[in-house]
Amino acid sequence: MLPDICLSSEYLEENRWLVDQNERLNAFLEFQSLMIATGNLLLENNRAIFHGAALLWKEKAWIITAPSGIGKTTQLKLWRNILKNNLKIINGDKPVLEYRNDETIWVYSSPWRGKEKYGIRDLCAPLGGIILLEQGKENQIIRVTSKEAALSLFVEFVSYPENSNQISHQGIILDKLLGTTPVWKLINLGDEDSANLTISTIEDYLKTEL
Amino acid sequence: MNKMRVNSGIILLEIHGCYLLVADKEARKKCTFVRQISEIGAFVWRLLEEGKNIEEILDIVKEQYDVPESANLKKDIAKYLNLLIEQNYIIE
Repeated sequence: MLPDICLSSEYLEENRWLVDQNERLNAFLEFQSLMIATGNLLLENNRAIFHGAALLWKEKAWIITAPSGIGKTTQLKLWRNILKNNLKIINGDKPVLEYRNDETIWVYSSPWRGKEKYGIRDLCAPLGGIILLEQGKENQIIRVTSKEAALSLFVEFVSYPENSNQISHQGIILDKLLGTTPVWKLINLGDEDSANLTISTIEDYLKTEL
Repeated sequence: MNKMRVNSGIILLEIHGCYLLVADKEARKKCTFVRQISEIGAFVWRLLEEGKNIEEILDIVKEQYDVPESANLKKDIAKYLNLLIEQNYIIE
């Protein structure tokens, strides 16, 4: 029986861009390459690895996403300081999304938890919303439309789809996600006020959902 | 412009009114992974997928979008197609 994923030496070399060019340890390259290969395979099973910090609060998962270096981990730490025991971290870097038959999206942890290894194994929750992070000169949060969010979210899927089937599945998962999930853009200073602004915005949103 | 055909490794996705051209593994050797295009750009792409030439595309777009005669439609479409050719989304 053949394995679902096989990391050949050629595949590893193709993915060498994933690691620092000075990184000579193949173990880390294998770890990152396995992430991409898993991400591609999951697409065909209504799942996806997504780049963001996934936080569990009020029984829902809230994902903060942005390209690397914009401040996701800073926001994660701020939320943790503010919410304390009311917050759990599902995954600090690359949670897994699942689109279920009942049209809900669920968020799970994964082995890829980032440098600080934030995340609790086996923790999962239904997706409550997504926060797109940007750096700015003042704190501001706005609700964005699905159309406005689509490209920014598409590029945060952790996959490099190999064929049209995988690409179509990524599109379908994102389409279903945007059909059910609010997305906000947070332009922020990376301070406690920005985290409080996001938390109070979500609280207001949850009141309208009741 | 010679006969055109779309790069077979490029997939057009429509996600809540946002149109993306996405390259598969083979196409990514020469194209960027994803680029966003407009609604009309996506409409033109679909005509290219059907094998339409530039004259046919112009006629269909003019009719579909009720474009006035004074508009620079031919110039705009030619510019868009040239960009797609330069970036290997279309093969001549």
